[in-house]
Amino acid sequence: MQEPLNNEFSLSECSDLIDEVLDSGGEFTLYPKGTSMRPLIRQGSDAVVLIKAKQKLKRFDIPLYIRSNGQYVLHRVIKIFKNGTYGICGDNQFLIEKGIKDSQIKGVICAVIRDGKRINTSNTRYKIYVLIWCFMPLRHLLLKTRSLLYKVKAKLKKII
Amino acid sequence: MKRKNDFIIRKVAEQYVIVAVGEESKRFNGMIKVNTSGAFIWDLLETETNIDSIVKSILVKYDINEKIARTDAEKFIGVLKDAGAIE
Repeated sequence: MQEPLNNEFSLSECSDLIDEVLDSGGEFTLYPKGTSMRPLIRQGSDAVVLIKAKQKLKRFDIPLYIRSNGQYVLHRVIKIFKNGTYGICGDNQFLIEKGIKDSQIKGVICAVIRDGKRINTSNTRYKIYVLIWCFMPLRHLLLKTRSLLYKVKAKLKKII
Repeated sequence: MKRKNDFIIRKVAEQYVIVAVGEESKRFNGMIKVNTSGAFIWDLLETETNIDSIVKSILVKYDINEKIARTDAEKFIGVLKDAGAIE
């Protein structure tokens, strides 16, 4: 049976396999878990295609990196600092994680598979999404408004 | 038939999996989960072989009847063919 590569394995379990596939110049497809990259990546339905990062990451690239606690994370580069480290943030977040080094980067996304269709990161519609969604003041406003609406809804439920 | 060099078998969390590497991974982006007898057949496919020869080797290694061995081997070979892992 052909199945998604990490449908039942954790990324740490697949770590050596990911390295081997990427080092061979290949692509590694995985189904990310979590909601931190919404609206771009929806858990359970969207997949991403990883390749090896051949050069220094650019702003808005989406790397798979390993945190110092061993956790694997797929978030977007928002800032590149003068010391060469990256400021990274999920598309569904607005707090930037600083100090990510090249040595922590395992691979970088070259495409998203959404509803069975491959959308390369060079795709114009993808680039428009990035331009709009990565304008942080707008995202901050939208996410804060959404959070506020959830809180109001929860309070109303308690009252009614 | 013979397995293609750009497919590899590895153990991930006690489970054998076959995946494509290099350019082939751009075409086949999944994995084939394999049990120990599948891994045994995969080893046999390192050199040119055929289904009769594979069944013979299975019967030497495992205590099963020929009909089951042939059915299982053909099923597994079918999965590998669909994935493009053998030539």
